Amino acid sequence: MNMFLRTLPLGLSGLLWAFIVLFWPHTDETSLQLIPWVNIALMFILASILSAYGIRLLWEKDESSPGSRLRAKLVIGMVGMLLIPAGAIQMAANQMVDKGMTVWFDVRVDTLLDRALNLAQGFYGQINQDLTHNLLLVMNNDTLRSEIATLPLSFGLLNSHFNEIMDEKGWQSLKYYDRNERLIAAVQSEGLSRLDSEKLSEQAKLAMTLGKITSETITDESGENVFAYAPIIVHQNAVGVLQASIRLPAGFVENARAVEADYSSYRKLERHRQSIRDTFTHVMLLVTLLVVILVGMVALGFSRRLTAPIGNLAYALKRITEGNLNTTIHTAPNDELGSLVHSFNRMSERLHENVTALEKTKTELTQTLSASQQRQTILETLLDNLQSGVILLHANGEILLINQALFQILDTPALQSKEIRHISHLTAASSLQAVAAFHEELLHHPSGTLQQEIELTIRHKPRQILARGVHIQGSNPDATSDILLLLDDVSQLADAQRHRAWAEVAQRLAHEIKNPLTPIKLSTERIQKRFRKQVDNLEIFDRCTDAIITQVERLQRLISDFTTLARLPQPSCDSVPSYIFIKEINDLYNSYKQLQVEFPDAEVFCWCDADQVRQVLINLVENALSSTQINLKPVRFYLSYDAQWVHFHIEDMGDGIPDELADHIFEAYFSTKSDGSGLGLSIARRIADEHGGELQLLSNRQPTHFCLSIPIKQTTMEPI
Amino acid sequence: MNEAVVYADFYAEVDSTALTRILQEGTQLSFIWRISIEEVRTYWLDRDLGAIEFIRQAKPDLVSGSLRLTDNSSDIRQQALSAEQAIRFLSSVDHFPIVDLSLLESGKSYHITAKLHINEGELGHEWWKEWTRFGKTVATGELTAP
Repeated sequence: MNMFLRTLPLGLSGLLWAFIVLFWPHTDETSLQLIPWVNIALMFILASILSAYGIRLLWEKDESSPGSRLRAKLVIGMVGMLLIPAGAIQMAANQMVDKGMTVWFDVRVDTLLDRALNLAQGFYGQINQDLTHNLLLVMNNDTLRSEIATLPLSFGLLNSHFNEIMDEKGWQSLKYYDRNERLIAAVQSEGLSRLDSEKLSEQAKLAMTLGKITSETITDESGENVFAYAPIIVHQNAVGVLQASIRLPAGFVENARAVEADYSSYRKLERHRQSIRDTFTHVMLLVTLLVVILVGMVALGFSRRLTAPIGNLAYALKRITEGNLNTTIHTAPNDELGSLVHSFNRMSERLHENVTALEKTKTELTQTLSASQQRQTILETLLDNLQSGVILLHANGEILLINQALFQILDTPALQSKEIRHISHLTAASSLQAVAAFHEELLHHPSGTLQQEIELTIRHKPRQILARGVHIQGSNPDATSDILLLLDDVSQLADAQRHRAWAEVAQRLAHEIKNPLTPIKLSTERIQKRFRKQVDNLEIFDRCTDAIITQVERLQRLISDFTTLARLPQPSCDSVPSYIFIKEINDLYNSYKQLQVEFPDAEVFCWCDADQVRQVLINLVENALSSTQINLKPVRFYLSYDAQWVHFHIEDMGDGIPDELADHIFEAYFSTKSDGSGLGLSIARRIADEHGGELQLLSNRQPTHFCLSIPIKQTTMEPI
Repeated sequence: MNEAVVYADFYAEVDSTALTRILQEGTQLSFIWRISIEEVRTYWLDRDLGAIEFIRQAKPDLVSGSLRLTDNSSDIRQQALSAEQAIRFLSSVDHFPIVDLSLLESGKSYHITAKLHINEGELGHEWWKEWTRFGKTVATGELTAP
């Protein structure tokens, strides 16, 4: 409800309060004020109801009952439609009353009534004046006074005289009362109507008392009469009073009294002109108020009847909005609203059915989704724990899924620095070009399945990767297939296989070659002893036999190295202070001036087999010393450490290792020395690997820098 | 004068000009007097001993220029020749007997109230007029019985 409708009841109530003040009755006791007070009461009741309703509307924050606002609008609208014409009619009626009063109380009417009254008064006055004048003449008549004063009275004479006077004056009656108010003589034109004498009037007594003529007008059954009273004064004493009367003409009296009544009524109306107008206004207001109340009640009843189905609909819709879909409306009128109610009920039923079906579907979907999520969780767990690197990607190269093992296998800085969303991101690194080539080949492979062993260089180490790829066709055969790539690091497996092969070869060689070498050497030495004096060319003999012995000894060393390589035992690790390796090397090679051994500033322990680590360090120091033996270039041996590792460094400033050979020095049977077996560095690296450490060539020249890293704490070696 | 009766004089201040005009314009005036006496009680409502109501009327005769004055309590009928005289008759009550002393208890206080309602025009006797006749109090007095 907008603010206008919300404040309209209060506005109307304010208007009514103003009307109450405006129409408050005046305290005039001479006029009836019942209607104004009824109006005030009605307006007070209406204003109170409207004020209460308006205040409730203003303070009401919650939703009112359904349909109440529409009902209020209808009532306000209907009453408002009534008020406007009612107000106009009242204003027009007031104007008409004003105009009518102006006409009624016209000055000409006023003047006419004044003149008519003056005419009547003049006639009455004239008759009264004539009567009193003539009575005064009679009163001063000496003959009559002597007749009255002479005792005993002569009634006959007096009556005769009275008859003469009446005939002369035309009076209705002439009576004489003595001082004791007794009727002494009486003559009247219509004869006596009653035997007892009439009581003397107050005016007659007054005339006798004052000694003056008085008069009065008396109305009786016969009509209106003017009476005059004249005292009879004898010797300055009132001895009686004469009463003369004259009857006024009936027609004139009637007209005169009609004029008097009209004048009186007219003047009364004129005096009450304002109150007449007020009365009219109040009556009109009362009618208007009653009609407003009646119309308001009718409008309320009508609007209740009209809005009840709408309210029910609104209430039902509200319940449906709140989720109660079982809502139906039971009562419906036989009209368009009833049809609407029936439609609503059908809609509610269908909505309930649909929602029930939706709920059922939702439950099934939820269960399916839960199972799917469970499967996906299992799959993700599997993928996370899988040692193989897995990539699932679209045919367009977009990566759908990638597992953590892949990052561990393809451990390159390029992968760690950016987000991988496309296969091109993965193969952008130069070291992973082989993966890109495999993917490309798989895309165009006719069988849709491909398996290759590819070689990658990761962190300067060659890695053997077994790559397998397969096209995954979805349920839609027309859709493009996805591609699943599996990458397995088989480097350690290859190394192990290679090692086993070489160990087997070494054992066979050791077995096949070692046994005849000793007899050969002993036979050669015996030949040297037995036949040296018999040969004619001793020099050639010695050179040949020495050569046999030397080569046999070399072969024996070679066989020994093979044996070492083949039978290298598993390291027996313990926490060993790294200081002892520095001290032992220093003691062992104390005679080599070019060797500079640097002792550590703290005692650091490493987890290793001391014999094997010592063997590696001696090998590395031997190599460094042999490369600097001629020009005595300096050799440094020192260690460094961090939280996890102890690093043994051997640096020499010898000729170094050519760049093209630097990648092969750790391969077996690779040696730059003419008498080397080519197994020393290979064995050294294997020892480092089996310790969970690392042997690296950090610099191949100036200085030639090897670093052996051994863990400080025990590490779990992955089984090969 | 009966010494066993309480008498009182009343005079009402009225708008003489308006009443004179009413009479001069031929409308009858009735002064309805209501004299009541109550026993004054300290802790309860005053006890109503009784009341007397009488009417004084002045009926003008525009044709003859006189006014007929009547008092229904004494049945006095007079004729006045001026409106002023009639108004004096209507608004003044002299030596009016209120209550017999035998009805009063010695030493007690009594409250005498005179109310007046002025009626213009014919005096009707409709019941609703009786209800709407709000008498205006014109005089009050206290009396302690000897």
